[in-house]
Amino acid sequence: MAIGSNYSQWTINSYLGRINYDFNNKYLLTLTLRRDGSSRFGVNSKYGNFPGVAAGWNLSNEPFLSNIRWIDQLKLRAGWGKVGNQGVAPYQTQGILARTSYAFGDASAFGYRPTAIGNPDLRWESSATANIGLDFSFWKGRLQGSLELYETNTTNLLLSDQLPGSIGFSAVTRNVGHTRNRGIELGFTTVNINAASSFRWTTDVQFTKNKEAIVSLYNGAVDDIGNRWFIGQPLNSFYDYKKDGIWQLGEEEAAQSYNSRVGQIKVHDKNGDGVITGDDRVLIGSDVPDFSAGLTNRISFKNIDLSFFFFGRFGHTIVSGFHQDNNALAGRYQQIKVDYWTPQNPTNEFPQPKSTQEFPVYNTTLIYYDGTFIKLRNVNLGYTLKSGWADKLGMESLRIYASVQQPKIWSEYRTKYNGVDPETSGTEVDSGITPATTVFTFGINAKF
Amino acid sequence: MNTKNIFKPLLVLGMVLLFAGPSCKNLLEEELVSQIGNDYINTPKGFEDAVNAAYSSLRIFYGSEAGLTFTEYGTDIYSVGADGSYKGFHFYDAQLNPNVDALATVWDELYRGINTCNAVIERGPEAQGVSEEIKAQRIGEAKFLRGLYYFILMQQYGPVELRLQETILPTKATSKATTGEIYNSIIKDLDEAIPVLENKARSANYGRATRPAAETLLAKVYLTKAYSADKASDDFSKASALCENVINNYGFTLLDDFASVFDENNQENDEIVFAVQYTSNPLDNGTGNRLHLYFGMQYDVQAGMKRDIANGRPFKRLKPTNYCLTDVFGERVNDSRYKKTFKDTWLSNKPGTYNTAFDDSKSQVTFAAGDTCIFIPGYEMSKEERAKRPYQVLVPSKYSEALFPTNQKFFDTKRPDLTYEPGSRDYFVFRLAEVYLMLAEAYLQQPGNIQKATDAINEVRYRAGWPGKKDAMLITSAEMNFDMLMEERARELAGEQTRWLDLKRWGNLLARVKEYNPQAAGNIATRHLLRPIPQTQIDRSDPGAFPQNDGY
Repeated sequence: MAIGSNYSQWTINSYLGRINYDFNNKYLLTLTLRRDGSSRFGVNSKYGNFPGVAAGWNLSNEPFLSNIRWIDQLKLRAGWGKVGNQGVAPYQTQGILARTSYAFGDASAFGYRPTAIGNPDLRWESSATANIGLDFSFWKGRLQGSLELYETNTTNLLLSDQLPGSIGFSAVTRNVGHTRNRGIELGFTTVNINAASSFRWTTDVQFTKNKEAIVSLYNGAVDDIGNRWFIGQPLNSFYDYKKDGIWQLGEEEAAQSYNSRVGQIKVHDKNGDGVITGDDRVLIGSDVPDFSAGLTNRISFKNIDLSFFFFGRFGHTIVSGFHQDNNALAGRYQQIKVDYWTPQNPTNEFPQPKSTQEFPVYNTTLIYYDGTFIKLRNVNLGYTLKSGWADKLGMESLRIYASVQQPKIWSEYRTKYNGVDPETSGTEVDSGITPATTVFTFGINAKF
Repeated sequence: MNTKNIFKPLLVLGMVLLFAGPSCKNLLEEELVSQIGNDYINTPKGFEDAVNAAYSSLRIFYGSEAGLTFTEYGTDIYSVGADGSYKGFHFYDAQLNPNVDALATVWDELYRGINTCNAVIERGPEAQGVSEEIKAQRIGEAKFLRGLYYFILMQQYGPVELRLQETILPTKATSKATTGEIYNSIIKDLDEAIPVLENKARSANYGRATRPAAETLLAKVYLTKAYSADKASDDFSKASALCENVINNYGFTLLDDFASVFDENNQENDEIVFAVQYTSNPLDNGTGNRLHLYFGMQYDVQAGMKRDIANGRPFKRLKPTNYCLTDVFGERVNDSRYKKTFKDTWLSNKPGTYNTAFDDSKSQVTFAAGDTCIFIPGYEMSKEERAKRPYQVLVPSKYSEALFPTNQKFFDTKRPDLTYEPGSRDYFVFRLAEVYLMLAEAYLQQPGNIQKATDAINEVRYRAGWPGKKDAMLITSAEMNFDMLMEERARELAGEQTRWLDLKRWGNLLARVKEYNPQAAGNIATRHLLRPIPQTQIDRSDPGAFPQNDGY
C-alpha cells in the first residue's frame, strides 16, 4: 500500500529596523531595513537585504499655501522600497525523486527516479518600487482624490523555467530575469450638485493603467519562446498561430499548397515561405489590459437615493477554452454555437465541420478574443420613509430598496461569439468558471 | 530651528529577532521528510528502485494509445475507424503536426526513462551493499532499456539527442546526434548487456530483461540498420546469428495453437521472449494495457447486442484495409489466422425482436440470449443464403468505418466492469514467432540462404495451419520471396505494434500506403518517414539548437 505524506517544513529568519521621522506635520520620513533568510534558497544565497525609504511633504501646511482658500489639502509623497519574495515551494534547491509503478509477474515493482532537478543557486526575488503620489482636496471637498505614479522593477524573478524534454526533466525553478511594471492610478470624487433642495449628485472615478514588460532574462535581452517570454512584453503573453480567415471557394490551389483545403482555417504565413511551421507563430496579445476604469454615480433627492456603477477593462486578450474544448466541429460531441463556414456561408470566422477530424487543424487560432468589456456592475434605488411615518408604524426607520447586480455586459466576446463572462481571474474562460449572473434584489430595511 | 528641535520628534523603532537555537546556519537548512532526495539512488534499496523505475517507461509505448498510434495507424493493413483521436497518423494530413500531444508525451517519458537508466549505469558501480553479480545484471538491464528507448526514439523521430550521462544541472543546450552515433550507442549498450543478463528464457522476476531479450533486440537493431544509410555488410548475418541463438539455446517453443498465444490465461507462455508487464492490481498497473480499447467495431448498437465486458469496447479506431482482409488474410482454408485474429460472431446479450440495419435479406430479427446475432462470413454471401440465417450477416460490401472484422488478440475480459480501461494483459514486445520471421528476413537478404529463410518462415506457417492442414501451409524455397515475407509478418503480427516500423525498415512505407491505403495515399510524402519533433522540445531548447524534421 502506498501511504502518502505532504509534510514539508520551511523556516525564515528575519531582522527588521525602522526609523520614523515627522517634523511639524510637514516633513515625514520613514526608513526601513529588513534582512531575511529563507530555508528555501541555496546555501550561499539564503539572505537578502530589503531597504526602503518613504518621504511625505504636506504642502498645504506650508505658509505659502495656507492662504489659498480653495486648497483644503495637498500632500506630496515619494518613496522607494525593496521587498523580497520567497514564492517558491520548499526543497527546490534539491534534486527529488518520484515514485513509479511497474510489476514483475504479479509482484509490484515500485521504483524511484529523478523528477525534479535541484537548483542550488536559488535566491530571493526582489521588487524595488519607486512611487510618487499626490493627495488632494479642493473647494471644501468638492474635488478630492489621489494620483499615484509608480515603477516596479522586479529582479531575480522566481519562476518555473520549462526545459527541453530530452534532458529528462520538464522544468526547473530559477531566478529567470527582470521585469518592469510602470503604472498610474488615479482616483477622485466630485460633488457635482449639492443643492439646497436636497438634490445631491456625486461621482467617483477610478482609472488604472499598468504596463508590464520583461526587461531581460537569464541570458540577457533574448526572447524565450519555450516559456513564452518576450522582451518588452508582459510575462503572460500568448504566442501562437494566427488565423487570417477561412480558405474560400476559388482559393483551392492556395489552400492545397498549404496542405489545407477550402473551408478550413487559413493560417497566417508570417515568413511567407509557403508552408506553416512553428516559425509562423506570432505574438497574439497578453492578459494585461491597456487600462481599466470605474465610474460610480450617486444621486439623492429628498427620500430617494439612486446609484449605479460602471466598470470596464480595455485592450487585453482572453483565451476562451470553450472555443477549444467544445468546438470539435466534427459532429460527435456537443458543440458551442459558432458561425461556421459552408459554401453558402462563406464566413471567415470558423471552419467547415468535418466528421473525420478530432478537432479543426490549428484550432488554437480560434481561442483568442479581445477581452474588452464594460459592465454595469450594479444599480441601487432606495426610498427612506419619513421618520414621522416610520414612527407611526412603530419603527425607528424604514427603507425600501431595489437593486440589480450586473444587469448589462458590453463585450464582443459575448455578443458575437456566444462567450460567457469575459472577466476572469484565471488565464482561461472555460467550463471551470462561473458564468455571469444577474441578481435582482428587493428589500426592506427596518429598525425598531 | 536648532538641532534639538529637529531630533525631538524622532522615533526609532528597532527590532532584532534572534532565535535561540544551535546556530542560524542550521536553522535555514532543509531536510527532506515526506519526499525522497536524489541520494537515495546510492543506497542498496534505492539502486533497485531506480532500476524498477527505468522499466516503468516501457508502458508509455507498449500497450499504450500513443504506441499503437505510432505503429499501426496509416499502414497498408490498417486505416481509419470512425472514432477517436490522432487521425493525422492515419491520414498523414495537417492533423499530424508538431503540436500533437502524443508526440511530446512519448518523447518526454522515454527521455525520463533514459535519464533514469543513465543514473543507474553511472552510479551503479559505486552502489553499496549490492552483490557484484546483481549489480552487473541490473546495470545490464538498464543498458538494455536505454538501447530500446533510443531505438524507439530513432525509428520514430530520426536523429535525436543522445544523452548517456545523468542530467545533473538544468540545461537547454540540446543537439541532434547522427543516426550512426545512435546505432553505435545502442549496439554498444546491448553488447555490454548480453553477457551480464540472466542466461535463461525467463527471469525469476518474470518480465526482467534476459539475455535472449537483449539478443532479440540487437537482432532487430541490426536488421533495421541493414536497410538504412548506416548499414554495414554484416548486419544481416549478425541478425540471423542472434536469432538462431535465441531460437536454439533457451528452450522457447511455438505453441501449437496460434490462438493460445493470446489466451488471457496463458500469458507467460513458452513463446514469449520479452513482455511489458501489466497486472490486475490497480496500484501498480498505472494506465494499464490499453490495446483492448481500439480495435472493436460498433456491435453495441446492433440488433440484439449491448456493450459488455466480454465483447469489449466498441471504440472502432482501427479498421483493417481491404488489402489486409482480402490479400493478407485471403487464404483461410489452411491458415487459421484469419479466424483466430478476427472476431466474426457476436452472441445476443440483449434478447428481443429488432429491425435489421446492415443485412437487407430480412427486415426483422428475433433473438434469445446467446443466439448468434451478428456474423461476418468474410466473403460476399448471397442475399438468398443470408435470408436463410436468423441473424444479421455483415458482408464486405457493408463494411464501414464502424463495422468490420475485429482484431481480438488484445480483448481483456478480466476487467472489473465494461467501462474499466486499464487492461491487465502483458504486452508482448518479442515473441518467438517474430524471431523466426526476423530470421527468415535476415536469411532472405543473404544470398544463398533462401532455404534457411524458407525453413524459418515455415516454422511460423506450420503452426498457423488448422489441425490436419498444417503440412499444406509449408512453402517451398521457390515460393519464398520478399512479398511472402511482408505478408507473413502482417498475418502473424497484425495489430502487434510493428507494421509501420516494418514498412519503414523496408523502405516501402510510401509505396505500400499509396497502393493499399486509399485514405492516406494522396497525402503521404517523404517527410512522413519521420514524426515531427515535439514543438516543446524545439521551443525549450536554446534558439536554433534543435531543428524540426524536414517538412513539418
